[in-house]
Amino acid sequence: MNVLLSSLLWFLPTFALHIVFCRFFPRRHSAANTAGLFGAAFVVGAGGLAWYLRMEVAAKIAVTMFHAALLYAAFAGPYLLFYVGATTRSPARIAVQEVGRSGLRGLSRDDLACFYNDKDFILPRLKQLEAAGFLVVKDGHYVLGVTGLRLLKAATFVRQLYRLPGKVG
Amino acid sequence: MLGWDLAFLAVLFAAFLLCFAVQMICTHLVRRVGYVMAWLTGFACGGMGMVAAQVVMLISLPDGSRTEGLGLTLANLLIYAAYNYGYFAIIQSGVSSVSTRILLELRDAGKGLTLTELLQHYSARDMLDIRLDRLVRAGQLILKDGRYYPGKQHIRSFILVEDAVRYIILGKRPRETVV
Repeated sequence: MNVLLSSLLWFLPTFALHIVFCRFFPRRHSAANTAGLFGAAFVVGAGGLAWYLRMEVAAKIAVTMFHAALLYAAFAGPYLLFYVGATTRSPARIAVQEVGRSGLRGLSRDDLACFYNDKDFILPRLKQLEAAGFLVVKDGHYVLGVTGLRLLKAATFVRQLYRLPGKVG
Repeated sequence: MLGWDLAFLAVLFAAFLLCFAVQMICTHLVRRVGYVMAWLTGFACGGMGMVAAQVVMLISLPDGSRTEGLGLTLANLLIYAAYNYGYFAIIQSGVSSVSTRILLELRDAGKGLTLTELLQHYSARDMLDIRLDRLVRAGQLILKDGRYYPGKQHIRSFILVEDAVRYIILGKRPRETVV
């Protein structure tokens, strides 16, 4: 139970702190900030524990702590994915949601098109990609950045590895 | 207990390896298996292998260590499920990521694109067409006489979970829209 308890002791206070941040400073809390918060909590928690236990004791429970760290990441990772999903506008989600709300009447493609515009879906993505350095703007042109090229290589590798169908998007 | 700790960790990593190996076999050697089925098969095989190995280890543990062993078993199951969920999200991004598509368009264009040019290659309308096609093929939506109707329910269940998370974290209720 040490592994479960240790990881919960790391995760639950961080989760509570994140909720406090989200409620009181909602505009300052991006997905990158969330990942940073959980990463920092992990480093502080692990460092503090190692210091508290002193090195000889810490070495004896190193495997348990490593296991607890894996479990902490297992809580934090999916939570981050859910958080990103809940705070961004997902195109597929909107289609399913709106068709679900229409009930027996259903919706035509043109009805659904009212919910999709470049301002909501493309422009925010461009801003995020630019802020993350994946693309750069030169003379009014969007150009692929070095990190963007790396991301594309990774995405292409995953596509080949799993033989993913169709065009991305 | 140090030895058992390591053994439980080793079982976890072996389960990940088994899961990945089965996924690769399904993808590259078995015909007509989509990426979702390949992922699911690998996940199931790795998971079953891990559970079987852990049951054997729990039986062989001395009485005093069983509670700790049960805790490690539960921890391994949670880690295995969560990492596979994250891994699936990475695979899925290779299918539906808008950001990746934008970057692909920029790479294909070579010397860069203005916003107008980019939107000619990929706009919200294109995104909608791709999504509708994908959702109909997956049975999430049903297309009948040019209108879309609700299909399978599991994406809607996922949306409900997301809405609950949204409410807990942000204190915001789901968006109400009038169609």
